[in-house]
Amino acid sequence: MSINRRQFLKITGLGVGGALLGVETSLASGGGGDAGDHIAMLYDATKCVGCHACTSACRDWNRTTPELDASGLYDAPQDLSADTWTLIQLYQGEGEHSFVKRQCMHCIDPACVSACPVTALQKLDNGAVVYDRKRCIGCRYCMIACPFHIPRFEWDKVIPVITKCTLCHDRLDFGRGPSCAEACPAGALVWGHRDELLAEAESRLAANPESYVDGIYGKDEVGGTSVLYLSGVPFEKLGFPELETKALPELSEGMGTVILPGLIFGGPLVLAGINYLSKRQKGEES
Amino acid sequence: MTVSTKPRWDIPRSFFPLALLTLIGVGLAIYRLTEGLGPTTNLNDHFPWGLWITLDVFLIPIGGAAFTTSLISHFFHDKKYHDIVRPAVLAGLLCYSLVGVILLLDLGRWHQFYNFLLPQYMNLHSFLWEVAFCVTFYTIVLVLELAPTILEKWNIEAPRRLIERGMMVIAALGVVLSSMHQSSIGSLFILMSHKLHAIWWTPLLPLLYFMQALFSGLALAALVITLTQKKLRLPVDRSLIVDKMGKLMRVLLAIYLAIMVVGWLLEGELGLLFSSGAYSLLIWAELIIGVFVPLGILFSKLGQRRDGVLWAGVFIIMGVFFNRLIVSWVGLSVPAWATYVPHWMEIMISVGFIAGAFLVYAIVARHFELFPEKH
Repeated sequence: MSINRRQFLKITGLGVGGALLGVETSLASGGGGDAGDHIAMLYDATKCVGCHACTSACRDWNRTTPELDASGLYDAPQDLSADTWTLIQLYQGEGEHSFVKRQCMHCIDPACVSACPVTALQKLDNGAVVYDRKRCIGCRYCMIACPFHIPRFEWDKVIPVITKCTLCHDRLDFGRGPSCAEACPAGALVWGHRDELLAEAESRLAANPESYVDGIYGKDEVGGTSVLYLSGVPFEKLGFPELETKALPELSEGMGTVILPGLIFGGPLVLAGINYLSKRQKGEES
Repeated sequence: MTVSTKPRWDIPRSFFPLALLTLIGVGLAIYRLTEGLGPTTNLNDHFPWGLWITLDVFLIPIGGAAFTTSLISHFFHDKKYHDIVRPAVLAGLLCYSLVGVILLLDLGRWHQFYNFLLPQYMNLHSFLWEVAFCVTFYTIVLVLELAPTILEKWNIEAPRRLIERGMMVIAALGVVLSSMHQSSIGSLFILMSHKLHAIWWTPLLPLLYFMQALFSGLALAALVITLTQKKLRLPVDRSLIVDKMGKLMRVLLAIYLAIMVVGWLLEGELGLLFSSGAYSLLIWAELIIGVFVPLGILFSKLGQRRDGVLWAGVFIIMGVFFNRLIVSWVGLSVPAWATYVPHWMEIMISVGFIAGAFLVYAIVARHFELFPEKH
């Protein structure tokens, strides 16, 4: 339903918006609407105590299977997987340490959504990037395209699906927050509208500049993400890639809208021209 | 009734190992479809794409054999190319059929592979959608281009005449579809500026991949045609290989090299060719095998000999394979601990279907007129 509405908004956005407001309208921001209104999460690594309440809450809501350690007593996933959609990891350096939470970043203009040939990945109006197994053909281009290396695949299933954090979009519909964010007892993970969380992050940075490295990860990376990070140690040490501020699909989709119509309409014209000229030349020769 | 001069069971010996490999490949492919990717491949979350995708993005440019010969024959009206369209189209069709089969096996949710053809699911922004769509319809174009060869043998006249009358439209459709998907395979990787090593990532990828299809398609056409003519004991047209294909290949290859260099200069990445450790070795290997050696052959006296051009073709095809291997697999960044070595079933399935393609080619070449008498 929301998808149809989104497509409707896209089309009217292009037509009406394009006519009234000029060219730059809703297409760039995949989900339509203002990214500031998207549901977002802010993870503050300096407040995280590594209690795993968030990962347990994720399992509860999404009914994923724990990945037990050798003793069979402790849920100890090493990495994101088909069964583990969020994870707390520990970074230890010289004289410093930090926890870090991993999950889908819910990009404002997601590469996976642009890549998927069958629109199995969609950016919802509320900001969540979600997956539809009915559409998916299992090509795994989303996994290759994601700059954060998030989507996972059920390799051991005969008919597998892509899995990743859904931002608990099925809770957002009822006014609830993502289950991990609601479970956090330390105030390290909060949820809300993206613009409010950005303001919150800015004020934390301003109030305690000595506790943080400069910057909010996710504010501008690949055009901005709905999951935002504050940290006391440099982001690259926590495994975050250094990324451009331009949304990844911008370049490829921009090229597509120039090259492809050019080939579709220009191609036959060029061929007709070559055909005509070479025929005439052959005629003159004989 | 005339009595055939050939004995009824005149099957060349080389057919048996090819058939055996094909059978093994088909059997393993069925096992893959019923058991899933886990037990049959070594693909994993860090290497979601592997050997099969590399083969796909390699077979498409060399399958451009049909694209280049049909373009030059039908639209540049070159009589010499006209004589070799049929074997080139057959080789192209087999490459694309391989792509179709291997891609289907690679799809996790192959039971609904047709979703990309359903209007309500299509993502017009996705270059993978465009590649899949164009490859599907281009394969149909190739079937139509080959159809007269089959139909004339069986004296099915009405549809043959219809297809031949529409051949210009069919060929034009083929050229447009080819231009689109050959370049779009490059565009697939535009999205991965953060993952693909900077030496290979460039906004010029679509243009480079289009060029690769032109010259590696020519190279495959030259090889396939010469080998077929030798095997069938037909006269081999030296001047076509040397004066036409060899010269065209070296021009295209030189332009390709120039575009690559311009790309590195524009992005200020020329230094990366020397400072990237293992990746520097890879790019130099790729350049030497795929560009410098064939250029050296084609611009020297060796290029005046048929075998020289064919060897240049072998190097060109190896170079394109090397490039596709790096861009779709080796050159993509993964965590340091992640590994992927193809499972033996991945290899045997690939080998099996490639053997099957050789077998089909040989059978068609023996029983149908790939080189019709010159009128």
